[in-house]
Amino acid sequence: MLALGRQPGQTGRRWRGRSINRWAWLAFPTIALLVVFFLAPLVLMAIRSVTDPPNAGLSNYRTFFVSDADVRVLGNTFYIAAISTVVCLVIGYPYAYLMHAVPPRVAGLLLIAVLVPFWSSLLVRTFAWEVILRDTGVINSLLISWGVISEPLALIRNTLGVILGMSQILLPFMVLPLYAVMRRIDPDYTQAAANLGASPAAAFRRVFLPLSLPGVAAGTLLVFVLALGFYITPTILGSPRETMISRFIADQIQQRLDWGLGSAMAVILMLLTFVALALASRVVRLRDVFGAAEDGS
Amino acid sequence: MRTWFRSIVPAVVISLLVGACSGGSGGASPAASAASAAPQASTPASSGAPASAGADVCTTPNAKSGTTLTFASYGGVYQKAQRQGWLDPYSKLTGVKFTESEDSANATIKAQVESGQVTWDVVDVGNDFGLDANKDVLEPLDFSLIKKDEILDGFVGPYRVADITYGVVLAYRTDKTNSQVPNGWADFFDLTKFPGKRGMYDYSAGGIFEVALMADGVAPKDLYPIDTARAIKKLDTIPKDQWVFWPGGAKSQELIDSGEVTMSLMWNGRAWSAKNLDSKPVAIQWNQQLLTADYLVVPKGTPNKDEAMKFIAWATCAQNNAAPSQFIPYGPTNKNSKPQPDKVPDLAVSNVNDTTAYFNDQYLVDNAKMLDDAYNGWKTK
Amino acid sequence: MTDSRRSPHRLLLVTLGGLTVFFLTVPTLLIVPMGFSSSEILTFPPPGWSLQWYEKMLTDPQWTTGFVNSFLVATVTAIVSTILGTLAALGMVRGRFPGKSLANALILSPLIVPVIIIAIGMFSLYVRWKITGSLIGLVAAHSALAIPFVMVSVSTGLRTMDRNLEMAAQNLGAGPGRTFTRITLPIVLPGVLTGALFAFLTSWDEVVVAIFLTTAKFRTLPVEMWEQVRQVVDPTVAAVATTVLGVTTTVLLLVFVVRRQAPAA
Repeated sequence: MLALGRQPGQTGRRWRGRSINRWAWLAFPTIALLVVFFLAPLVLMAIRSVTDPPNAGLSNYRTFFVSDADVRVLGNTFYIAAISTVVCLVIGYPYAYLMHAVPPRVAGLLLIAVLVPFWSSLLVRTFAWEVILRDTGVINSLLISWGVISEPLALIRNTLGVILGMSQILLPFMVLPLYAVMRRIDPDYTQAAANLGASPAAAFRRVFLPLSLPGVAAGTLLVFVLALGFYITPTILGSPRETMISRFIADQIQQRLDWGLGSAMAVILMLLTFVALALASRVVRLRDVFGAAEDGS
Repeated sequence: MRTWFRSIVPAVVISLLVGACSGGSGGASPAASAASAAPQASTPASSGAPASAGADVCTTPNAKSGTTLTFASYGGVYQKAQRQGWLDPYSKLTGVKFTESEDSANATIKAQVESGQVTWDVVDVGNDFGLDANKDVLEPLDFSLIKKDEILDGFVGPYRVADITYGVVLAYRTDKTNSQVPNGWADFFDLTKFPGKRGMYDYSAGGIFEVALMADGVAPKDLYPIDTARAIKKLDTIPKDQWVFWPGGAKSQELIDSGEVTMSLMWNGRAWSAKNLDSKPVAIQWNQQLLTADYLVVPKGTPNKDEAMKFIAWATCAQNNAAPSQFIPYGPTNKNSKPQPDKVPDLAVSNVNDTTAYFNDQYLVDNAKMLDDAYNGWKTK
Repeated sequence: MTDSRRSPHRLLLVTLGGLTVFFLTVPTLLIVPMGFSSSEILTFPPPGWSLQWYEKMLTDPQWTTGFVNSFLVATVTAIVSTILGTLAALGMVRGRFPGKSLANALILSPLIVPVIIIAIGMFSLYVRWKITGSLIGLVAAHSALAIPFVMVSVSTGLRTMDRNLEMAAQNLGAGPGRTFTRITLPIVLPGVLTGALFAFLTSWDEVVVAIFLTTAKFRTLPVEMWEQVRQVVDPTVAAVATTVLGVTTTVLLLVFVVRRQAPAA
C-alpha cells in the first residue's frame, strides 16, 4: 500500500527466488535509526499509558473518557480540523485548477507561491497572524486609524483566528496533491466533451471534476490528519474554546507531570489518526498523498 | 493496508527490545528510578563536614569554597533580583559559585531525578510543588540548618521552604475605571460598573476559583474545599469573549500595559512593574489578595545536597531573606526579616489584612485533577 | 486549454488565484517591516525606521546562541538524514526484502504521526538515555523527521533513471563502487541535494519536538521564539522571525537552482 518502490521482480532479477537482495541492506541503517529513535519512543509511550501509575491498566483511558473537558477538547479537535479542511478545499481547488489551466510558466510561479509557505516556519507564520489579528494589530489599527471602527474587531483568540492561521499553513498540503492529480488528467477528455457539445461548465462537472476526485480525497485526508495534531497555532491564535488535544497532551506532561494520562491521550490521538488514514486508504492511494511533495517540487 | 498492520507486530517487538536495553520498562516507577539515583547522594561533596558549632548559618556559613551550585528559577527580573539579593552576596561571602538556569519547571525536576541526571541543586518552584506528593523527587530539607520556626506559619514543609512571598492581586487600569476604585473581586466580576476585558491566569490552581468564590461572597477562610459549581456559576457571569487568559507573568504585564484588559488577576510584582517600570496607569487592589510564595527545593540525588542546604538556610535567614525585595517587590518569608522601609508598601506581606486569603496548597495538589477538569470543562465550553 | 474561455468564470478564477497568493504570502511578509520599527511595541505601520531590534538580536546571547544552535542542529541533521535517506531510497527502490512495505510505512510515518506525540514519546525515552538538551538527541529526532523528505526526493530520481547506463558502465569494466560514484550518484545528485536542503529546513524550523528536547543550556531559535511569542511580543521577535524567514528563503532559492540544473526534474 505504502510502497514507493518498484514491484519485486522488476529489479534484482538475478536474486529471484531469494527473499532478499543486495540493495536491501542499504535501507537497514535507516530502518535501525528510526526503530531506535522514533518507533521505540512511541511504543514505550503506549506502554506507559497502561503502566503509569503502576498497575494503571486502562484507568488512564477511563479518566480521559469520563472527563467532560477532555472529551470536549477531542471534539473541538475534530471540529477545527474539519473546518480547516473544508476551507482549504474551497480555496485550494480553484487554485489548483488555475495552476492546471494556465501556461506552464505561470503555473511555475503559482507553484512557487505555494511552495515557499510550505517550507516557511509554522511558528513564524503563526506569529505573523498574531501581529495582524490582535486588538492592537495591523488590521485593527488600520481600520481604527481610518475611522471605520472605533473598537477593535475580535479577530484573534477565537475560532476565526485559528481557522485563518491553520488554513494558511495547511493550504499547500491541499493544493499539491490536487495539482498532482489534475496534471495527470488528459486535456483531450475535456476537449472531447466540448466537441460533443457540452458547455464548459458541463464538461467540467461531468468530466474534469470526477477525474480530479482522487486529488480531492488525497488533499482532504492529508490536511485533516495534519490538522488533528496542531499545537502551536491554536495555542497562540485561539481562546480556550479552540483548545486542541495536542495542547492538552503537552499540558499533562509539562504542568501536571502526569505521564500516564498524557501518554493515554497521545495514544488516543494516534489511534484516531490511524483510523482516519485506514478509512481513507479505502478510497485514496496513500502513495498519491505522499508523492505530492515529490511531484510538487 | 492489511500487510502494513500485520507487519507492525515484529516492529513493535523490536522497539520493545530497544526499550528494554534502555534500562527499565516504560512504566518504571519514580521510586525505582529514584532508588537508582540514590547512590549519587554519597558523592564526595556530601561527605563534607556538617556545620561546625562555631559557624553561624546566617553570617558565616560553613560552605565549601569552590563548590558550584546550579540555581534554577524563573528568569527575567525575578531571577535577577534573586541573583543580586542572594547569589552574588553568598558567592562573595563563601566562595561558592553559581550557575543558573532560567527555566525552572516541575516537569524538569521530575525528568532529572528519574533519569538520574540531576543537574539542578537548588530550585525555586511554585506553591503547587514540593509537598509530600513530590517526595520521590526531592531531598528532605535539613532543619538543623534551616530555621524552620522563623518562617511564616504554613510556608515551610519537609521538602520545601518559602523563599519569597507574593500576592495574587487584582490589578486595574486607573484610566479605564472612570475614577472609581474596584474594591475587590466582586467588582472584578461587575462588567456594568467596570466595563472591559478581564485578564486571568490560565491555570486551574492559579487563583481563578478562589477569586470567583470571594467575589460571590465566600469568606477567605471558607474557600476550601472549593465549591467548583458555585465558582463556575460566578465565572459564567463574565461572557467568554471578555476573558483573556495569560500563560505567564510577562504576558499579564503586556496585556495591562497595552490596555487590552481593564483588570487582571496578576502577581503583584508584575503589576508593580507595569506601573513603575513601564509607567502605565496601573494600580493594585490589595483587598482579598491571595498571599502565596515561591519555594526552594533540592532535587533528589544532587551531588551537592549539603551545600544546597547551607545556601537555603542562609537565604532564609532573617538578615538575608528580604534582600531581593530591594529589586522587585517580592517579600520575605522570615518573620524577623526587615525589608527596606521604602519597599515595604509594595510588598504583599505588608498589605495583609482580614480580607487576605491563602491558597491551601495541599488541597490544590490533592484535588488537582478534579480542579483541572472543572476548569477545563468551563473554559473550553 | 485553448478553448475560448475568456469568460467571467475565468476572470473569477484568476481573481481567486490572486487572492490566494495574497493569503499565502502577504501576511507572513508583514512581519518584515515590523522588525525595522522604531517603536517599542509592535505597531503597524511602524512610526519610523530603526535597526535597534536587529542590534538587540545580534547582541543578546539568548538569540545569538539560539541561532548558532539551530544552524548547527540543522546542518548536522541535513548531513545525517541525507546519507541515511539516500541509502534508504536505494534500498527501498532497488531492494527486495520481507516486510518492505512495512519499512516503507515506518520511514514515511514521521510525516503523519502528530508531532506532539513524537515529541513526548522521544522526551520520555531520551531523558532516560540522557540525550535531552544535547546536540545528539535533537539531531536524532530531527533526522527522523527529515529522512522521509530525503527519501522521497531521491527515489524520484532513482525510479526515473535509466538502469542501462549502469549496465553499460559495468560491461565496460567499472566495479559496483565506481559505477555508483560515476553514474548513479551524478544522476540522482539533484534529488540528493534537494533532499539535503529540505532536511536542513525541516530541522531549522522545527519547534514542537525542540520544545521538549532542549533545555535552557541548549536551545534552538524556534524555541526561544516560542517562549517569547507566548509572552511578550516586541519587535525583536519580528526581527528574529524575519531572519528565520530569510534563511528559509535562501535555502529554497538554492532548491530551485538545483532543480533547474537537474537534467530531468
